Amino acid sequence: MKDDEANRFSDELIVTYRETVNELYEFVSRRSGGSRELAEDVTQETYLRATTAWPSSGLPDCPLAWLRTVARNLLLNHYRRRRPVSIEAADLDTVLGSAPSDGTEAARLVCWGLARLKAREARLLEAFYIDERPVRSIAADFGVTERAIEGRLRRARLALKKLLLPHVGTTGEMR
Amino acid sequence: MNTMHRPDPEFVSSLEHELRSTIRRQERFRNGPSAGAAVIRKLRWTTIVVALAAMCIGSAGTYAVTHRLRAQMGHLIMAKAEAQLEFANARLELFGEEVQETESRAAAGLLAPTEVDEMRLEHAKLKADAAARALDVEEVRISGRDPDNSLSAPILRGRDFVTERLKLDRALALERVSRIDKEASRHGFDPDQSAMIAREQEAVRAALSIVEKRIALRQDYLSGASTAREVELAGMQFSVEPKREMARRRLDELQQELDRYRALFKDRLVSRSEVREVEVEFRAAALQLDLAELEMQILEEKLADQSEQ
Repeated sequence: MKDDEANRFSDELIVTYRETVNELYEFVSRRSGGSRELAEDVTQETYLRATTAWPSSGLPDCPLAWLRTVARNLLLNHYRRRRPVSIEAADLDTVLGSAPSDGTEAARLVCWGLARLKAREARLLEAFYIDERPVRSIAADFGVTERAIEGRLRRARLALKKLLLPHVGTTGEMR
Repeated sequence: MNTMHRPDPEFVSSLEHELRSTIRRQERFRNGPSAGAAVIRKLRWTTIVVALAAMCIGSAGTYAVTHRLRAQMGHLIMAKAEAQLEFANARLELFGEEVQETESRAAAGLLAPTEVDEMRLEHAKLKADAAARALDVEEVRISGRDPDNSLSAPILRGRDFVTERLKLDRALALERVSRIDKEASRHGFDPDQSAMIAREQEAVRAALSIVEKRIALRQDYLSGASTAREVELAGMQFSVEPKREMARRRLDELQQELDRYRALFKDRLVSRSEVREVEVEFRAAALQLDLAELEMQILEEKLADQSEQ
């Protein structure tokens, strides 16, 4: 009986894995500064943590949300341990303009900066710039007005600029 | 999906294989024989018995010490409440003399009637404060603790000190409303003054409405219609709501001001630093609104949780 239950759980976990792996990998990859190695490591570690946590707590209601949260925290830990590489760029807006997944040094620097922002600001910038979600949808999630989100985005971008400024080589003027 | 963000099929299958092995390993570990489990159970029971005995011995001593400390603390709290009452009465007495003086000077035509009104309002505030402090003293005398002004505070020997204090607040708020209405009738023809007074009228009416809502909440709690947590959360919500409304209005006003300044800057009628000043003010107002919205959101979520429970 016990064996049957264990087998059923194991099957459920594998089914969940197959259903979520592509989406989770995309989520991680978009935040990995274009590094496939990092994306694979984080994805692997996330599922291994699930195999440890889920047998005792049961499958979460929304496994993908659970997996994303864990993956995001693993990425944050990764970037927090790293020292940023200073880069040469025309200006800071060019750095911020590079998608955090496009594989450039600038993209890695943006990921590094996101890991050091306040959680709320980082989530907002990620939702807007990485997941490319419209302001209206973000506002609905946060339960505030679109204007409030626009204001917060402006402030979060400014905070990120301040963080990155010392690591951008040439004319990183604040605008 | 962008191919760059698609996992390598080989990686997907090898990870699946690894997950299967991990799950199998964990299962074997969970079902394996647990050596020494009986000894651990025995140890656990012994620990519980020893801990219970220690708690019984300790609690008797703690009770005696706590009782003595509480009595000492009661005296200190009473002394503090009496000192506050004395101070409030002294201020009231002193200010009463000033009001009389102002009234006689206004009667002689040396002062504007508005100044007398302001003095009277201030006097009413001090009077309400002294009355509230007197209630504090009575409450401390009964409870031996600091006055409890929360909406879910208990009735003490048939006295509802919370409602009594709220009624004092209401009387003062009504006094403010009547004063500002009187002022509005005086300045009816000056558009700038009228706008300012209208804003003030709105603010004092909002304050009165909050007091009335708090009185209603208190009655809900006493009648058993709401729980303590519900009334406390709703009470906080009433305080945040006007703050949010005010912040929203301020932001709208500053937006218009900012647009105006930017237009003036284009025509070189104001300097860049003047525009920047308004921008900073606008940003501060936006932050205030964000904060009020967050506070409201937190309270709404807590209230929702409460009603679900």
